[in-house]
Amino acid sequence: MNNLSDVSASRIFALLLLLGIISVAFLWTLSPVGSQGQTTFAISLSIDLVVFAMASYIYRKSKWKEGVGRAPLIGGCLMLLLLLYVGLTV
Amino acid sequence: MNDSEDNDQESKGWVERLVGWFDSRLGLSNELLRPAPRYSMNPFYWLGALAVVAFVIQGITGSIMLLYYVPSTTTAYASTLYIFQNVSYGQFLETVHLYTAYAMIMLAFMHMMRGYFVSVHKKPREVMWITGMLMGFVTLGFGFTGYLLPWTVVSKSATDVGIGMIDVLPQPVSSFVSFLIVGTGGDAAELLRFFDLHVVVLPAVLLVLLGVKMYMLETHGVSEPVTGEAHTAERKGKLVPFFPDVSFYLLELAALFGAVMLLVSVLFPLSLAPEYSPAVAGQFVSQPDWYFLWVYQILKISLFENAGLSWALSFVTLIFVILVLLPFLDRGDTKKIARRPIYVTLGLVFTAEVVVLAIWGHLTPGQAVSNTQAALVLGGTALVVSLISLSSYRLLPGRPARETPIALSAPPQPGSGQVHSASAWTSGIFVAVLGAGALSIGGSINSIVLMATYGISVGEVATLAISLIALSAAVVGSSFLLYRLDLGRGRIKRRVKAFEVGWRE
Repeated sequence: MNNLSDVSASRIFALLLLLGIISVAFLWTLSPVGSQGQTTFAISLSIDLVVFAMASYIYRKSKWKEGVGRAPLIGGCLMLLLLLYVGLTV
Repeated sequence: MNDSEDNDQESKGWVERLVGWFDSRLGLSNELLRPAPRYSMNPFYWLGALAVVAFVIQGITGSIMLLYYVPSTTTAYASTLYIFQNVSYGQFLETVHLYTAYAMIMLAFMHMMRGYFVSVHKKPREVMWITGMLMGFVTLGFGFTGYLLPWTVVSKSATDVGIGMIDVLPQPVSSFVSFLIVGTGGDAAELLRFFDLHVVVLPAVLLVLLGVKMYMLETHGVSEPVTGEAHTAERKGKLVPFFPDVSFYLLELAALFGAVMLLVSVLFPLSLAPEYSPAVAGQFVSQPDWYFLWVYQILKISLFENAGLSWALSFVTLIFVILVLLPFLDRGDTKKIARRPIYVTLGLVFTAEVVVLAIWGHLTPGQAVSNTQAALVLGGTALVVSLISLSSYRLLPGRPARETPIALSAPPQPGSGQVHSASAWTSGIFVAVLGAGALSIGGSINSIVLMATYGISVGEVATLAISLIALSAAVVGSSFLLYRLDLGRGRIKRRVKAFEVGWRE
């Protein structure tokens, strides 16, 4: 099966929303001065953007009744992992 | 509201109800923008939209920087440094501003080349193409004028080289352009005019052109697909409304683009070059930013030195004029890539030459290019790309690729998923082999460029040999996979069978 079931898609959607909210809340706790604060800000904002794109993808595909594909979501998760890795190492 | 509408509302998820709430209050789906065909939900159709997203990001970051930047020769560098060191997220803002500018230029170029290959310049979109080309020139103008503003030794020296070329232009044009961008007051007037062009004139011109292009997009709609006839015919009748479908899709693309830009900004933060002064300038080699490197490399060819400079500029101008007037030059009826071998090959050669010249210019700052080197590198690149392109046209049948996967050696049951899976794997390997082939072409051209520039060495000869072997393997491998996939509705297999029969007889 290349597509997720509706229930799985809904659960992932909810998780993405949670991650987005946490990420936005985290943005406001950062110090704006210094390169470390800037890096964390950029990474956190990137995570928000990727989360939004993934949630929008789930919404759009569900609306079109085409089935939510696994590959784009796995790609999005890999992008999130890359961002977290960069955020922790740079 | 009747019962059926109530049930309909209840059956919708909360996200759809939320979107519907906004739509009913703001009238977002009231045919403000026309619906888009379903097949256009593909990033390649929206490269221009992504360039606009980059422009918007630049507008936001640039507006914040305007609060601190002071455009005078004594304060430009200091204020830029102040933004870097003292403004909250200042370095981040500068970096994102620069990288989105680069992305905007790259996206505009990709948008233009994609349009060229899929014939969007043909009837009825001729004026749309010309408007897009003008927008491309404005985008390059943004790059040229913005490069000077930090007043670093690198940016000022490179800009002076560009300004120096104005004198080569014919007299009335030279005086007008000189007055327009330099004025008569030396460095101070030059900086102020560049600043004015960058933050007022060019954005205004771009917005007007964008409005014209959007109007024409609304008039003519999204361009028709040029491949996969069967697949798109099935979906051609399907239109999706601009809100929420197309707008959400565009927001997805914009969000991913923004995320990538932020990631690149974190990984490669901008560092500021030293401040410009005539004394420091002598220690640096003047070199334009990457998007003008291909022009810079043409100007360095010995043939175009001194008096020949006007010929070089005429040549570059001719390229731009041809691109603008393309709708009136390429007037064939067909838009299919498979049926335009000459124009597609010319487009591939042009793209390859621009890339090779830019990389070559980057590798050899300030070094003159002999006529022999130029002929070898540019001629070699054109020859390699033309041969590959025209060979592909000979190998591939003159029809668009079929969408339906075909049976492989052991015919599986239709509808079992086995056909699709096997074909998908073969297609994946085919794409990987093509990628390896492209890398091999790049490696070969790189070796030729390095040998032409620095002389022949054992290492480069070995690299060239390995690249050519890899290229040959890629050609053989892709031919085999092409036979397995048989993209031409069985024509390749029939040709091979006919060849085998003829051989036996």
